[in-house]
Amino acid sequence: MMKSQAAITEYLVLVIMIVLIAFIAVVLLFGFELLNTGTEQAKSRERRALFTLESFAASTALNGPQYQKGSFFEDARLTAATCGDLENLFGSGWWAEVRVLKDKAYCDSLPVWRRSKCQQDMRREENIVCTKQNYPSCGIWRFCAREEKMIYTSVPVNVYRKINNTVDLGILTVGIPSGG
Amino acid sequence: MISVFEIFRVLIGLVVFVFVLTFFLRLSDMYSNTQVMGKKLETVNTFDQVAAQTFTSENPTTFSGFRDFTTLVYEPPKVKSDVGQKTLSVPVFFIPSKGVILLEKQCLDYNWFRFCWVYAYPNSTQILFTPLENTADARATIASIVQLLPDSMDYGYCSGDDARASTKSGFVQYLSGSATESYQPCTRQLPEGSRVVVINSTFNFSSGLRGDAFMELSSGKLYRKNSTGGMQPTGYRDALDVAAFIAGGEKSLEFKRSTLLRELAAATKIMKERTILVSQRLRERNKQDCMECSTLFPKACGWVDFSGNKYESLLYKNFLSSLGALESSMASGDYLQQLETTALYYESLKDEGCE
Repeated sequence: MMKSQAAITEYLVLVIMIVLIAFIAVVLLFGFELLNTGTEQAKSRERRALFTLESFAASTALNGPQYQKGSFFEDARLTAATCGDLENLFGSGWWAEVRVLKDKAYCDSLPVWRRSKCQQDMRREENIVCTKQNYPSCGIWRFCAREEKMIYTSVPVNVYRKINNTVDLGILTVGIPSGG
Repeated sequence: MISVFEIFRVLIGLVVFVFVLTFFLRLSDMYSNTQVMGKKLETVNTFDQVAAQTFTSENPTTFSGFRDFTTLVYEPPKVKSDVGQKTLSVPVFFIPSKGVILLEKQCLDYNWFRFCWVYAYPNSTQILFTPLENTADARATIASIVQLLPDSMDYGYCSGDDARASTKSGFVQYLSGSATESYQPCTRQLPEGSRVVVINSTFNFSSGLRGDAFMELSSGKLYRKNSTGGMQPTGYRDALDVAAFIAGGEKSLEFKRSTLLRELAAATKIMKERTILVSQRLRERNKQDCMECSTLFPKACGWVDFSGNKYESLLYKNFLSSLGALESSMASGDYLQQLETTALYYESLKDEGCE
């Protein structure tokens, strides 16, 4: 009697083990699928960020007519544009920034006593957010609200300074909510 | 002699076997369905991605992922399929097909703004025209429409059972010549995705005319058979209206209007405010360049109402009222005149070096 009871218990344990293994296999399989879905979502967000960046850089509303190939923004157009305008062009759910990097080599061509002030002025201008009031003495354009968690992509661009008729180097950064 | 334990073991074994087998069969079925759904979802996403790439790169591409789909409908901006719907990231005029789809970008230049979109259509698509009165006006209209349709599509005439298609450039060249042929309603069976556009000054649909789109030149109306077989008219104002209608009927036309007007209004607002800003700063610096045209261009942009967030409303209202008249031909109307005036003042901005 005891022997057969032990055999039954042994058998039940075996059955439970088989069911457990099957369950673990299912959890692993679906866990793997979930992982894949997560990866796909991340890739999709990255693609969206890249697409918004490309659309921004190529937009005829922000580039001058002589630079239709894109990545050559005009500062006056950037200043005139609002988040609402650009959402009508590129859709919603993004944040963008164009930041000018002034060429400080120009200051080196000035007499020594003026160099330091020139460099200071350039640094100050680089950090001023452009509005219609302070244009063209500014160097940053920001559009739409920035969220805490975003995926960012950046690309170098040229910024044509309309009033001074010069070209500055700039960095265009676009952020897409990472959803996490 | 078989013991009770042996019988119990066999029974338990059978129950467990059947349970595990059923479980795994159901699981594999569920898993395979999930995989098929996932694959289809990925296909729709890839299509959106290819369309977006075509839009940004300007290079035509092909796509052949829809062969396993049972349902595929395009209701702009959404592609509806077995796996639900997906809103496309860029404006697409899509003729759905399970075969190879060609994607190509086209743009309409308003001088101060370029409106761009992507055509997606089966690679066998032909657009055939049947001008029942082959006049110079009808040929010019056809040429303006064809200019906005894809470069890699074939175009031609269809008359009775005779259909002749050639390349876009060949057909446009042919249209520029003087033609004397007369055309009969098309009866030819055409490849998948193809469209027959019948053009006439007026239509009498009681004669049972065949075609995918009917363009009435005298009234500026487009007709297409609806689901009940009746003819539903809709007005057109520019060649892109007709091109969108040919590609996807009323839904594509409505999508084109709303997208174009929204983007055009936003771009015009940016341009207007930019011009005012630049002229103010130049005046402050005592530079007299582009003073006059800097005032004229913003005035010319008056057709966009900039108040509040709905600044496209006036443009849209004007556009709809010009459609409501339905009297003028394609080349006239308030809407086009306003755009032309703005383009003219924009040109003077460029000439004066304000751009």
